[in-house]
Amino acid sequence: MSSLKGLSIRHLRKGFASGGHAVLADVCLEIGPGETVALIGRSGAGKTTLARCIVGLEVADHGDVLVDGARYRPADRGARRAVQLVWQDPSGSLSPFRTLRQSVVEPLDGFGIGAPSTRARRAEELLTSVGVPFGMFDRAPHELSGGECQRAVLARALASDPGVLVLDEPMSALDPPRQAELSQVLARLTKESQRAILFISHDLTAVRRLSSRVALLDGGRIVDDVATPEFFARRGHPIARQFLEAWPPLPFS
Amino acid sequence: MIKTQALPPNPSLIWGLRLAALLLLVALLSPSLTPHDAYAINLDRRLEAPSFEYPFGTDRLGRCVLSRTVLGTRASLGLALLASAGATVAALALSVVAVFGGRSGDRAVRLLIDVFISFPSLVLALAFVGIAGPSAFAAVTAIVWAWWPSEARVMRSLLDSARHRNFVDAAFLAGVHPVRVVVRHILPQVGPALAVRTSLEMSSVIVALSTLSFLGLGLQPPHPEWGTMLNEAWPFVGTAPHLLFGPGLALIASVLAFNLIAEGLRVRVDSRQLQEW
Amino acid sequence: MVKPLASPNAGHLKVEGLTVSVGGPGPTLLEDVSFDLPPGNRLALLGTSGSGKSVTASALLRLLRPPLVVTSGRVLVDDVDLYGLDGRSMREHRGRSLFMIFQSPGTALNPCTNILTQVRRAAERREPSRAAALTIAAQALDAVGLNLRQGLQFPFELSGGMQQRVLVAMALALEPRVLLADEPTTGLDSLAQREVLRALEVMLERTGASLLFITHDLRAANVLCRNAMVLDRGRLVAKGPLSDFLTGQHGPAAHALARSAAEADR
Repeated sequence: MSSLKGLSIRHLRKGFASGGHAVLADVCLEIGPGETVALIGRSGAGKTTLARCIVGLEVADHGDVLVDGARYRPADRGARRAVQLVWQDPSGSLSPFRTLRQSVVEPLDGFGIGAPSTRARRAEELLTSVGVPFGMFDRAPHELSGGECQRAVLARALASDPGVLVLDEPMSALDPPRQAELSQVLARLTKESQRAILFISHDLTAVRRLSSRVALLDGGRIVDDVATPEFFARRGHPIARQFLEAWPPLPFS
Repeated sequence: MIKTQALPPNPSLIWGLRLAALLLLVALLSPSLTPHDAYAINLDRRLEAPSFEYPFGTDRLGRCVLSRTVLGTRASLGLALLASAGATVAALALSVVAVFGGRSGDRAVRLLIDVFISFPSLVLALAFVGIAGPSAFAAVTAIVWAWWPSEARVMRSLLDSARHRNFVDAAFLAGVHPVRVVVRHILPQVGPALAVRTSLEMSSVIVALSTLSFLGLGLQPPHPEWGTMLNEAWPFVGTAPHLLFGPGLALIASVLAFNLIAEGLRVRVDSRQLQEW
Repeated sequence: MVKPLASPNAGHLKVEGLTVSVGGPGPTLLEDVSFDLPPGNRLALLGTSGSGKSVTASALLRLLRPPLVVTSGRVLVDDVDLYGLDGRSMREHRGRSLFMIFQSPGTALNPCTNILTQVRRAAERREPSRAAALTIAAQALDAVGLNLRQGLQFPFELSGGMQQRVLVAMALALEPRVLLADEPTTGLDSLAQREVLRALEVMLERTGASLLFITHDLRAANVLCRNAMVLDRGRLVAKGPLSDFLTGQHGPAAHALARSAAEADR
């Protein structure tokens, strides 16, 4: 299953600074290009820590993260183009001192993508591609709804055309209509691109819609990794089944 | 750029800035503003009460108190500004080390702060001057030495919480150079709170400097400075209380100016946050 | 001596024409909101973000911070208008008549004491004897599925879902007549959600309190409530059984909420 392209996480380990048992004990996961893998697990299981270790915001104690077969070294600024992150909290992920357009231009400037004069235009294209209306480009985050902010965050993450995209519960801070909208944008993204996408979520309907595989993080390890239909047919790990059973039904249908 | 709504009128800030501007102007232009030579000794006219010729009266050497107060603005405010700037820069530098220098950097700076802060500021200042000998330079350095820990403590936590915002991480992921990250994303966050803090600090530094001078440990005579003038007025407080008016009023005005600015800035920062709500 | 936890305790919450704005002349966040929560009943308050759900919750408890102000309306709990009370009486009512479970339990809990002590202090409002209060607290924690070892832990040592259950345990110990739950399951994984909802069910059954469940999650609302209201930009625009929302008979806002929840499921 070791693919040369895409994201490969090998025996990742990360402990708390104060000692005690490790948050991530031995995490192994492979995501090929064009694949979207959902990561579920109890809150506090380490999903966000894993996300941060993958993109390089935190340093793992042990183990490797490989992007397209090569060791990912976030210390090299240029290398960060390849891996991007979308956070849970939409307004906190955008600088309150900058407009949407400026926030999306930032990675273009940071990585030197395209000629400087073209970057504003490129930012506009990106924002439009995720469905942000034209009139919003020059607004600041606090003037916009969570859904619009989150889309801008996604646009910014896509600016460097990363081969790996990590989405850390991108929808849980949004209300149902905005979740549905963002879900549509993500659905298009997952189907059309050759990116390896890690989709962390506890929204099982989004998981079903967007991912081709479902992985379960528990006790610092990936204890289950099955195709999405298998997961929803309850043929996965017992804990995964528990997650499904705990999911309350809709009031109608 | 970001459009912001107009903020409500802010009398504290306006009057504070006006008063501070006035004082700064006096400090800059003082030699031309003095009615008499501030250094001219006139033993015939000692300890005279305020009159038309000498609006604040004369001191024990017959010098014009008003002239000395006006000229003293240079020393009292100038040195205070220097000391305040010094403390702020030292605190900022060490806070940056603490926040960006990894765990060891943080621990080292925190230890330093904890050691210093356990001494009352004035005691530290006195100790320094005691070793260095009294002079303007010693007083300024003493205050930087004594004031930086409390500033650093506040700055460190401001910088720390500013650094952990998601959009700062995002800038990191966007390949932005670390210095740019600090300037673009961290300073704007801490700027307002820092400004409030620094103006408040100015008032306490002004008083501290005058206290050191009052104790005879700052700028040495015959140079006019408000604290020194209060020291000289002390033996005559019963017979010639007018000697206190000049330096006293000047001190009050200065402290008032910076307190008003601090309050005005605080109101402004809060209004801004409310807007975003 | 152990005091039994159960005692029918149903409060009647009635809101009439509640209007909240930012400063006197500022924009209106809630406009003429009226509803009736009969004793022992459960009602969900749904709405998208920005609809005014949290403002409603704060307004009911008289916890609105300036410049937000109630410009008109009444909040009646068992026929007592809360906005007619003085500060001390209002404090009495908070906890006895009304209790709220917040969205971020971490901020509602005291970080400096263990949770058993905190629940015991809540119990002491009803049972002055410390020993009896301690027993009530232990029973309450047990009822929400937390054991003694967890009881001796501090809030930061517990997960979000467990912290929520601590708040439910407090509610059990306080036996309020009306319980307000403001997005108690938002942000929790499905297992933690289920535990919190179960804990709420236990609390409601044992105390008989009435429930106002504020959320944007239809599924969670459906677990505890059959009926719901929809808040849209500060106005109450729908009231009825959740199961009917998809039919559209309760207006476009309700229909939109139902549709986006259902569509995502395709």
